[in-house]
Amino acid sequence: MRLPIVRATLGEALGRKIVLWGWIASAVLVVLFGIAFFFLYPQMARQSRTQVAESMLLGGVLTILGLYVGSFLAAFLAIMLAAGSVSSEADSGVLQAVVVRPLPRWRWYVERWAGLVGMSVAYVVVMTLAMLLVARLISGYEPGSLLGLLALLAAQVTFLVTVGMLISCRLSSVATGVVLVLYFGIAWLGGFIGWIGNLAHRAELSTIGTVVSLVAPSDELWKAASSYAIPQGLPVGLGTDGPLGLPFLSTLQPSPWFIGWALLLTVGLLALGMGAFSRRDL
Amino acid sequence: MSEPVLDADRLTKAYGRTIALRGVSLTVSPGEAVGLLGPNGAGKTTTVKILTGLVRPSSGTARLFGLPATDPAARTRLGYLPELFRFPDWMTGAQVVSFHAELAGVSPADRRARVAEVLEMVGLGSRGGDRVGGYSKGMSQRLGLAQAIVGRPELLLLDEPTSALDPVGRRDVRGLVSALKAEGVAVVLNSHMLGEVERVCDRVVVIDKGHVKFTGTLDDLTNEGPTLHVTVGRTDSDLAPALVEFGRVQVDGAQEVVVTLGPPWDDVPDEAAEQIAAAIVRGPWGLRRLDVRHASLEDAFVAMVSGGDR
Repeated sequence: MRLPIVRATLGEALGRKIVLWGWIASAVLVVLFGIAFFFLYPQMARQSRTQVAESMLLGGVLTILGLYVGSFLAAFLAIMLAAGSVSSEADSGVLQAVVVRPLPRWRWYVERWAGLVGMSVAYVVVMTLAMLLVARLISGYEPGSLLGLLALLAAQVTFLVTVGMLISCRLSSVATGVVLVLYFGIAWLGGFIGWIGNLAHRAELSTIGTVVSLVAPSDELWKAASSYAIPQGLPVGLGTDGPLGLPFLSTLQPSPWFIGWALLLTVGLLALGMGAFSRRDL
Repeated sequence: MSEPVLDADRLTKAYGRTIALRGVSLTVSPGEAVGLLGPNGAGKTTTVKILTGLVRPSSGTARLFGLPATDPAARTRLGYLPELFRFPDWMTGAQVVSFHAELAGVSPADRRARVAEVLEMVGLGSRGGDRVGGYSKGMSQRLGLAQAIVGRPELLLLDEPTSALDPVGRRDVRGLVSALKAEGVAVVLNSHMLGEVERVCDRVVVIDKGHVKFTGTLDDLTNEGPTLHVTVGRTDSDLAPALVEFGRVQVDGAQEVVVTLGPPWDDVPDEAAEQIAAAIVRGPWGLRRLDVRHASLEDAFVAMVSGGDR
């Protein structure tokens, strides 16, 4: 069998307006990003030596901010795709004729998951490459590790799709969307609290941030990705760890333990979803 | 006797505090057509969903071709048309059927020809290239039937297959189901269309309030004798005893009498009518009108679900 559910999932998503509008919004974002970069960088580069360093800093921040917005859009695309991935198929009656075929339920679930993850990953990779290309053409911007950046951004959307499908086994599409957005928001808030804790040297706030990142790792995955986006030579201390810290990026290399935990959590939630779907009455 | 293609044993299903099924048992033999009848909420669709593995029973077992219904291998020879279904509207009708053919294990070499064949069988031969989003409700139902039969099933479960069809469409579906049955396909037909069940099925199972209230042939179900509806000039207390030898007598108002013929008169209703007419004419009641009526499936069904167990 040649992955018919994956093909159906991709075909369905391409036919849905959510993907079309996602691409349109993304194209607008890339164009705006390019315009901002086009005007900012040459002007900065013409100035004095210290100001060149400043322009490099601002160029880097602008690129990472663009990537942050891109990852935000990718996260929302993953949330929207996952929200109705099971419940809307069941409620509308699409699933009933499919799952009575001689196909184990877990197989349907995994193929659907693979299709949605494939789309989300393709989206975040294309968006990221487009913005990095713009930054490179204008300023010669080079991320510290393109592979690490893309892998962790992919891990973020994969995690969100996995959580979304699990919730969609139990809740309606709208309820799943709401819960996922709240979950994503909690992850962001946890990251922000942790950043404040680091900045103010308040251990309890840092601990809260760490705990939230373990339960809802999407924000921490972005920060880990951002550490690979920072080019060599950008001033240290720009991220959450330093005095110039910005709440949306990190200059620290991600902990292998955290990455391992995030992957383990993703696999565990996928397995839970497979079990929940297999037991669900349709 | 050949092994049943479907064997459900004491199925129960509870949704929270609501009990949908209370011990439903059902067997279907190869090539047999069985009608599932029952009022709304009786448990018919829950039964069908358990038989297809969509719903897990709270207790009891459901087996298809000797395997548990939840085992995907049990469903290789199953075709199913759900009561409520939708197909992806971005696909064409042919793509939908081809997708289901692939899932059902139709080989790539056969697939194109098989898809064209079943679309022709359900009357969508010229519309297979159209997007499903543009299909009418009746066309969607025909498409549902096409996907159900594309895998050459040996057991076909049809849940309200003609609910969206016009009379011509209903006749087409009846013809198709009869043809499949003639080829040896076992059919379970869950339908509110009693006439449809009457024409297609060998046997009926009546479910009400989660119980099987009747299982047997249509003749068994409608075997309550024919009834004679008599209009007389007047009734009195002597009328019923005068007719009781012919069966159960019900005096209904001042002029109406209904005689449900019992043996041996139920086999010779016309002769019974002559004898009853003669008896009434001999007495003081006066005969105005006499009709012989045979019980229909609908009569039997209504009597059963609104009355007691049989």
